[in-house]
Amino acid sequence: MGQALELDRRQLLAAGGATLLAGLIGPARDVAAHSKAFFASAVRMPDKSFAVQLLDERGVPLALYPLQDRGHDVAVSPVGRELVAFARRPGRFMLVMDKLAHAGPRLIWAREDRHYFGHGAFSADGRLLYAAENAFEEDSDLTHGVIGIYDVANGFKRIGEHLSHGIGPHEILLMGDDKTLVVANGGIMTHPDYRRVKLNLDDMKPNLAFLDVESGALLDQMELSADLHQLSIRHMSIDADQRVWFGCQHQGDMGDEVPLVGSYKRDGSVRMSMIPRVLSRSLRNYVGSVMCNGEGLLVATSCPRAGKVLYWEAERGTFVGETVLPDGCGLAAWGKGLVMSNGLGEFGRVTLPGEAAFEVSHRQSGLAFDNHMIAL
Amino acid sequence: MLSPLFCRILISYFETGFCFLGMVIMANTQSLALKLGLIGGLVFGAGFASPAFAAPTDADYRAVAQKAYEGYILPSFQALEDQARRMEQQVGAYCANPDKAGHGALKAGFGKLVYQWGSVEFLRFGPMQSKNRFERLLFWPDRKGTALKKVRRALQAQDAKRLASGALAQGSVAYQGLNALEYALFGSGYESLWAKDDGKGAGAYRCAFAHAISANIVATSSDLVTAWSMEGFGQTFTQPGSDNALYQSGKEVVAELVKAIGTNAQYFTDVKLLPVMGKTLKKARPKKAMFRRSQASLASMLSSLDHVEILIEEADFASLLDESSWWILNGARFELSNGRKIIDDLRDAGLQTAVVDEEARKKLIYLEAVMRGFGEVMVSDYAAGAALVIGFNSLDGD
Repeated sequence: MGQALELDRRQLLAAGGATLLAGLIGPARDVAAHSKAFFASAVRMPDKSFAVQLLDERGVPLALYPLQDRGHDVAVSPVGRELVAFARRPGRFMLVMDKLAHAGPRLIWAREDRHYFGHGAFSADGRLLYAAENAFEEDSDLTHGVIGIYDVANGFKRIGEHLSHGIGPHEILLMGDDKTLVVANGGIMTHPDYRRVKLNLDDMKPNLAFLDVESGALLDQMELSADLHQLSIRHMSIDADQRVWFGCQHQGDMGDEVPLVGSYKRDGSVRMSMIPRVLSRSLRNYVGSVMCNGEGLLVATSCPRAGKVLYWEAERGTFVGETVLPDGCGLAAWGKGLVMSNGLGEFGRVTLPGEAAFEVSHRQSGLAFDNHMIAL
Repeated sequence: MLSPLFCRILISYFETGFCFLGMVIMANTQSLALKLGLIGGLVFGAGFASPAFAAPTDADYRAVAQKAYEGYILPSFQALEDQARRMEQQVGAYCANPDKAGHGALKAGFGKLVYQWGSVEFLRFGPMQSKNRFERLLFWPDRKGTALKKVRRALQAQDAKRLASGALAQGSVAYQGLNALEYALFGSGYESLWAKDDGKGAGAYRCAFAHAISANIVATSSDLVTAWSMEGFGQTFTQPGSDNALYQSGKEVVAELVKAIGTNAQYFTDVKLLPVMGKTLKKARPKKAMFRRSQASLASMLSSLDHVEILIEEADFASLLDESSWWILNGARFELSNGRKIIDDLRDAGLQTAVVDEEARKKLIYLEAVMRGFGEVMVSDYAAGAALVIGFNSLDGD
């Protein structure tokens, strides 16, 4: 009883519901009925609190869902109306929202001995939600990665889990066959007792794991060569040819000129893309989001530490250009081009092919868009 | 090489134990004034954009980078090497003539080394980020008790080859650094160091092994001094520009320093404090205290606070702020002085006792808030005041 009451109180505190933004008239659902939400993103508000925003096609916010702590990515049901925002590691909440804001948000807590890594994915029929999670124990500093399974119709009840077949699973995506889940096991061990501190940089071993989404069986696994063992594989996007593109965060020397972007086709070989030398060090070991354009022929990788988005031709894997985007990270497909967001509260688009200039369509002063944006 | 401020802090710490700087004591008596200053600053927070304030030039940022390098970074690595050398000599001398009385002096020597380590612990960019140098000096948190097990096993195996000069550097990073040395000198069974020879030579080997670790710490810190020299990363750090692959401008170098200061605050709470405290008294984990075996946990915490302030002074961070923004650094110093005062209050009890004491825990909770506040002031307010660009996504992505 006590715990249930506690949860209710926390739910109330954490999820204030869809808050109407200043200047809009009527409840959120009326707004949503008139203007369609196209994108969702976690944000940091001007008062330094955290939230998820639903945005129209120009980036104008339509609904705001306060979060008790920093969010990360949002998963979208391919058939239903559910959207789920995940807490950033080592957070333990996810917030279920309704695309049309017809239903109020609901907060789901992780199992006591699990926390989220910020990413998740729905099954093709929208009935199940998969979440990248960390399995930890109180008396051990050792952790391993799991994929939590939630029953959507049953109030997102957690009904089981698969092993992620690695440490620190980050982004997870459903492959085009609808049967295979690809997991970016970043390889970095963290324990909530030490919050975000990385515990195994000396012997980390990241991998890309392909799981049978139903049984959890490991179908294929890609490991980088030993000299790249500190290259944490974090974010992914799948191109038109079902090649998994991934962006990495190197945990070693800033002076190392390591490849941070690569792609892998299941049961094939890995292909690391060459970053032009003039750009290499400016990326400072870090790639944020990875996103294919709508056709799946061009891949964008955001590099906030360089203030740039780099483009890769999917078929050959070669660098084809860049867009200057200060503190930019959020990427979503938009036809042949992309929409992007940054830490300066700017939302805009890049039309491709073309000059690849970032054209701001809306700016929210004092607000920061967080790492990922998703097209609804 | 050491600046006057630097020396003053070292002296005040070591000659008068935990009696802190004059500056800190002053801050305590002036806390009301500082608080008022802080509030005033908040009211005039919009003063950043004051038209009278000319934004710092690239030369101003470069000057801060240069002062940070000459006045803090290089001397700190050199001081670490010096202190490591003193430790090595001390352990060597002790092993030649081990006794119970001398063991206490070893602990004091180790405490000084831990304190000095705190001066560079948060400079985790450049040389510290490569070749596992950080882990070589400190393998912590020691998940799985890896360092512990490896040291224990080595002590049992008594392999003479491990004692050869440079041999440890070839093996696991887990038994090359401070916590491995701490275990060898102060971990369970340390009495064998001076016990009468049991015929198996366990005590003598343990001492020799500790000596080999201390020599390895000298080697790693000496390597860091070289790596930070003007022939190495020192040049990258002090000469930003279009031909510098890492830092295009002085502003980027200063941003690196401010990020390191933010990291210092985070490391303090997330590694040194919270894992030991646990969420509740029942969940307190005294054994997770860093350097508990040498009773240097609080010295390590104090070092974080002291050195971050020395860096701020030595690098002249204030020079990048308009007068109307000076409240920011006053606020930061105020937080640090509050933090020092709490650590001083806990000196008699020690961290391990404090975390299981209801009253002392309240102070530790406050200490966490203080350090978080300090980190936030530096990364948000100072960065804004000094017109640094530390992006939300680029600072702390995932």
